[in-house]
Amino acid sequence: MTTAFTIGDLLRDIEIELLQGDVLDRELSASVAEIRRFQQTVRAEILDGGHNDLRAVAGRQFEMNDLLLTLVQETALRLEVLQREQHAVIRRLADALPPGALPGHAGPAPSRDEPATGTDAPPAPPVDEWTRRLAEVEAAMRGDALQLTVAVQGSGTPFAGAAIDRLKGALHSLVIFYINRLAERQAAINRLYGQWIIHLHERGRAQVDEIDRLRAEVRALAARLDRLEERAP
Amino acid sequence: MSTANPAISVVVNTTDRAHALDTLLRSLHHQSYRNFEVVAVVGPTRDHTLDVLAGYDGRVRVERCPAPNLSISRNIGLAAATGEIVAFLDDDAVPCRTWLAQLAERFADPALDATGGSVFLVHPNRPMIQTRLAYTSALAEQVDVRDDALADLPPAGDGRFWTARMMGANMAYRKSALLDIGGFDEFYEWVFDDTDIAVRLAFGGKSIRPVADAWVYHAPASSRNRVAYTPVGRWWVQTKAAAYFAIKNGRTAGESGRAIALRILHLFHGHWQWLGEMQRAGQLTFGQMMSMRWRELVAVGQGTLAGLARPRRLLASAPSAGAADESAAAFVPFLSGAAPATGAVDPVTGRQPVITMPEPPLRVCLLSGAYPPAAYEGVGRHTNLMAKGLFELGHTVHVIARGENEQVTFYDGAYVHRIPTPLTRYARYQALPHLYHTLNRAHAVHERVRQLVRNDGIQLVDSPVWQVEGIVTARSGLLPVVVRPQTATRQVAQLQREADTGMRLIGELEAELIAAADYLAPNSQATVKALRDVYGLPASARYQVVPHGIEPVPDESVRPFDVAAPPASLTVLYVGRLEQRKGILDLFGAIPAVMARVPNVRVVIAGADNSLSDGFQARHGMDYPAYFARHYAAAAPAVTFLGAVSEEKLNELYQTCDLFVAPSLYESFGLIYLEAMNYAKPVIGCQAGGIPEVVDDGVTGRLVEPAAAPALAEAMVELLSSPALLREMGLAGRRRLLERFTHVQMARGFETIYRAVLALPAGGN
Repeated sequence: MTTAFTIGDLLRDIEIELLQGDVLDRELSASVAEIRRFQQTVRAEILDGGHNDLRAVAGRQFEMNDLLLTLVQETALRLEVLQREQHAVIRRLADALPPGALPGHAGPAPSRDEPATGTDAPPAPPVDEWTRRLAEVEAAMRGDALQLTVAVQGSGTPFAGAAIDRLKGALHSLVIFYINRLAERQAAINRLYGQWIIHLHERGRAQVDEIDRLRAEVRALAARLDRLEERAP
Repeated sequence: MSTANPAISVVVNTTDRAHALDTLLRSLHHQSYRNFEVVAVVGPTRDHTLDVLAGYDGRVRVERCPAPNLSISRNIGLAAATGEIVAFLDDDAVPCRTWLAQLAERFADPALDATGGSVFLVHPNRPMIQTRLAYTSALAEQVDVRDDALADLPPAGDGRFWTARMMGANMAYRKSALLDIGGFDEFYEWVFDDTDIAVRLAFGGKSIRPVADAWVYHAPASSRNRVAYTPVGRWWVQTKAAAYFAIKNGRTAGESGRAIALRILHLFHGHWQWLGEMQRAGQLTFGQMMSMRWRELVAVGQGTLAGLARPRRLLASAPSAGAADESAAAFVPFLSGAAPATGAVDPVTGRQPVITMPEPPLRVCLLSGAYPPAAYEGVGRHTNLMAKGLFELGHTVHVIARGENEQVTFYDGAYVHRIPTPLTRYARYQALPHLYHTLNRAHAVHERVRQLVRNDGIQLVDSPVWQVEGIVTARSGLLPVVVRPQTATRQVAQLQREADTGMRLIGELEAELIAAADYLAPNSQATVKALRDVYGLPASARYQVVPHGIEPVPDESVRPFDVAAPPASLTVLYVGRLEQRKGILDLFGAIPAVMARVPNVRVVIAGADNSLSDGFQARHGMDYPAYFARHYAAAAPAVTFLGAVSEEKLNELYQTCDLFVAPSLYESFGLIYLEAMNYAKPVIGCQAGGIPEVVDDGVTGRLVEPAAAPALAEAMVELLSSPALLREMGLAGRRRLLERFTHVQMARGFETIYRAVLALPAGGN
């Protein structure tokens, strides 16, 4: 297998890795645009290259890619909501304290041009649903997830049956060879999406934890505030 | 309020570190962002700090701080600052070129109140990342997240309240945010001032978001608080500050009294133990240790009492941001008018090259896996000499080299970034380990190149063909790439008839790197020919031969042959691996003939025996020295085999020999001849490869046909028989080196190429 690698394989893999680095560095919208551009190139290469017999397979792969892309966007949206929520909790934490309770803090923090979340108790993230989806993504990322194997049904023809089966097998192998090459490249794209989703998910999870902690902080401070007020003459 | 091009006040708090301050101020000329002022707050100084600042009259605002207290000094700087953003920088630090540009970009977000970047400790012996994305708890627990911002958040520790923090050497704030909380707490005379401000900003609902970029290179200088590069310091001040911090901030964060008390005891115990370890390691005397332990005890009491009983000492009558702006002095930009083209600055010694140039200096990045002083290999030595030469011409040079941990040092005129190679990519090539490692290495190098573009604004990358470290950058199109072809893997593979798939593919990558290069810089015409033969170099390829250059030794180290007082015996030196390609058997064949005609000759052979690799042992059943002893027994007593020798020993051998001989069958250039010429020694080589481009036959030595022992013996006899020739040719060699083959001349050759490449339209290759 290793002897089959060509310089073309190496250069393509370098391109994929470069693209992945770009995705992690850029703003999400620019990254999505970049992934789409790459996908268009691959799409044009495959679908306009005369591989008519692969159209159906390629089409389905692109559908899956779009699905993954949507997941990325959903994740990003979730992250953005979490960020706003985090800011709001911090604000509430500061506002919960009486003026002068914090050094140099003369009252409520100055308001920022920040959209309000509009809810006091945001819903907890559906962790189970996410875990399930991530497991699916990880399964789809596996390099061999898309690989097909030759499976030829016996013709049952007397005398010439064996020869016909061998011929069918050979033709089928040829088709499978091209499909698997396509699948290999698709798997690389899937890996890219998957890693990005997991990256976003990890960040989101960290923020959820942080928000939980801050909420507890607010509750503790509010309770302390109540006690102080009770003691006040 | 937030603008895209905010006025930034760079506040430098300084006391008695005039030399470091001078270095910093000169380095600020390299900032890409121009809308900034510099406020220097000078403590009770006894050195020539004020003289240094007098040189910047009208460009640096000088304020005085009456007490040796960093927080008071910071508050004075804060009050004096007229910019919307206040950036604090240590006086013994040098920021990356885009430091202020990156900070300004971050503050374009109106929700951001505080940020700062990474700090690299440019320590000669223990370089490290001093801070990157750090966090602190309200109990003074500080955690540095050096690798992954997502790992371990919130960090494990006793504190329940955690916030991001910046290091004092690299931190920036919206001025209004600092004024809102009353500036710095003046209890902190040294350390914890930066951490305390972060916690109080967080309590005040301010947004603190440090970044991994916006680098600052920190070359610690000694101060009244500590002796740089030693464990000697007033560490009890840290304990006092930490105890105070834990009480003040821990109580505000709702930590229990028990948690705070345990934390203070933990701090004290940690310092107590550490001092004991220092004493056991011999870095402190017993007396020093006991004295410091006593001070620790006193300090923890002082910090605790102050934390419990004293109110915070904040910026006196903290004005509102608007009022401060109205009362402040006018904003005076540090870089006014057209900035002069100043050369690179050594951040450790402050040295700047003396050569002035008409054109602006360049910012280049050289690649070399192995690099001195960690490793002296061919490509590494060449790259090191390039870096030295380019620095002498005023250019800022960054070198990316291999390392087990990420670190930056400043060595021989270049920032040396040592980075590890995480094997996290290209998993499908794992079965081809050499290729797998090569690809991952090239990618790790590219990641660093990207960081250097963001932080130091490098303009181009220079990569050797060897190990194809520049292939990913060349493919990315991020920057122009100049390629130095020397001996390459494909050449070696062909010579050794290797059929390994990984080697074949690396050879293919070399061809791609050469094809993708914006310019090629071969070291000799012989290399150009090899490029054509091995890689099919197209006629359209842009290239310019840049011969190797070395650093001339001082004149007093040069030992030309003394005709008036010739030595009792003449010494012939051979340097190189002992292998057939280096012509060692030809030298063996010539030695008896020479000894028969020239009395009192001894031969010194320095270099590792390579008989196993080149197949000699398989054919003859012995290594080269044993072979010589058996076949040339009569001459053996006059011949010394030294094996591999150190750099120091090598220089001594060059200095003390009378004739240098290296009958190599092929050299792409022949650096060894230059090394002998450096000490005014005549040389004998072969008419092969790039050697005739170095050795001027009949002037600086002699050239003979390759693999011709009799001709070699004849040339050796000719020179050894004539003291006058030994002297004249040696001195001619030294002159030739000074005229054509110094490291600065080599750097000039590369500079010409770099400027040509940068003048090309994008994608010109």
